Amino acid sequence: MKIYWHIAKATWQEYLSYRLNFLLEVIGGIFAMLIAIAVWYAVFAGDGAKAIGTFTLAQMVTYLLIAGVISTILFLTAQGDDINNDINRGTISALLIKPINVPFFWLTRDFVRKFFTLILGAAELAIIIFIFRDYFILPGSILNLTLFGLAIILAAILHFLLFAILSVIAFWFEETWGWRFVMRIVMEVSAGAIIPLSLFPGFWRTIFEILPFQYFIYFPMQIYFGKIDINGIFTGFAYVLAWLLILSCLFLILWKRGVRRYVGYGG
Amino acid sequence: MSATAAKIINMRYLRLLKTLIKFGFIRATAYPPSFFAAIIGKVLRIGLTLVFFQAIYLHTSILAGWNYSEILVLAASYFSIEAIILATFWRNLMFWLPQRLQDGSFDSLLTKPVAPLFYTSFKIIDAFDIVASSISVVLLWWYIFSKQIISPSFFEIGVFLFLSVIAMIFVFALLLIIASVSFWTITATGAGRLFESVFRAARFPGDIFKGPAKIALLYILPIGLIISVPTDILRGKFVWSHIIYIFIVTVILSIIAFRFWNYALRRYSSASS
Repeated sequence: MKIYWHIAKATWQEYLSYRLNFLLEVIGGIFAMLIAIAVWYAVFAGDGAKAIGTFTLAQMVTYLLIAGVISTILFLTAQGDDINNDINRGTISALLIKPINVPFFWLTRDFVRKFFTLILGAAELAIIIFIFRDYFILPGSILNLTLFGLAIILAAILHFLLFAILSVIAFWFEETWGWRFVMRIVMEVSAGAIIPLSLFPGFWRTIFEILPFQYFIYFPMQIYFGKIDINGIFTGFAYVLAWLLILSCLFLILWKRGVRRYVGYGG
Repeated sequence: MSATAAKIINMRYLRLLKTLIKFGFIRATAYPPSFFAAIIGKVLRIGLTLVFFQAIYLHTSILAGWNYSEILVLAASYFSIEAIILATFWRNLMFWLPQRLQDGSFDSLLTKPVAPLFYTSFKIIDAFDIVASSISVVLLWWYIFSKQIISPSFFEIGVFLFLSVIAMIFVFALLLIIASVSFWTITATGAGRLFESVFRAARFPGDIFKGPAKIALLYILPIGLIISVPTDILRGKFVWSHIIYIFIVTVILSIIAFRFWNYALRRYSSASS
């Protein structure tokens, strides 16, 4: 494990040299969150509604603020680029001869990136939450907060696996940007980042509930607000774990087959 | 410069643009599976934005004075303008220019017998956006006109097109200023991502913004107006104060942008060894 700690530290140093770039992207994410809040303010103001679906204005603002934080951590652009580029440009050759587990190396870098983004955005997000403090609702209980945290960690692993799968197909397709782009587009809406899934029309809600993306934002937020009972929470976690298991197996199959057919040209 | 010489130069640039578009298609289709996936992604992006609006209007009849049909027109205007911007100068200024400055390839661009600004802004034409956005945007406009959501006169369409061009010039000038900064900072891609988020505010009616957001997005940097105002024309609403304001801001911004670009270019001393 010590080696991955060193990889994490080296990655942190690498990202530090691009901190301004990351910071601007984080601010972009925060800006998108503020736009979403402005839209929902206008919706509530439009018909003078006290609640929309099961959401009051305060709940909606809290939802969008936390969804914004999660989106900022997870939904950065260039997701999966590392893996795709390592395979495409042949830098994976140097990784394969090192005494490391390459997928775990990528996972380490991905988590450092997520943590780095969170740290960079922490102060700005704290200010935004302070500005909206009158609307900000605290979690139902300590248990809810703990389970919410756990759901986010699992979501981060799920997020990594989804992009890792679409990136390792670079062993066969050379360029995977298009596939990752499709997933990013679907993910941003169906995770519930700008609107809770329960507010979508029935047809779309059904589709989005089949996809695993709801576990990034919508499911953790349901836990945060205490909108689902303990059975619902257990069922949700069971689904997340099942997704993780299926995707891990799929990733390992693709990875092993991919490495077998990989040919590193050049010196 | 005589009129004939100007005409020859313009023809040369048009021919060059045509060649760059051709190269764009060759580059994009080099990886066919990824190309078609990206097209699906682009079409989905527009489709899911409409689903988002559908979800909003499931819970309200009016959003800042706009009903669902009118929002469709706003979305069509936004995606039409965005498609042209994305396919042409957006990535060239925000992502490719910093990269060229970083790897030193910008130097070779300066040796070409073409205006550096033209080549920098249009060198890589994004075929994904041309194909995908054209399909989605044409379908969207077809739906709007077939359902008779709007029935503008030729004059209104003319003013709409004029204001759409103004919106594109406005965005171009803003991006040019941000891009010019990369002559000093080298990396401006983060700024590009930030501006991408800011520009998306134009998908919504300007009137949703209140308080400081209204001042910032409607008056200081009128992103909230650049798409709303042309769309208003199609709804038969001429808000002259907004039209004149956008026009003046765009002219001033363009002058600043071109001067800043020239200043940055003069100070450029090559990044390569």
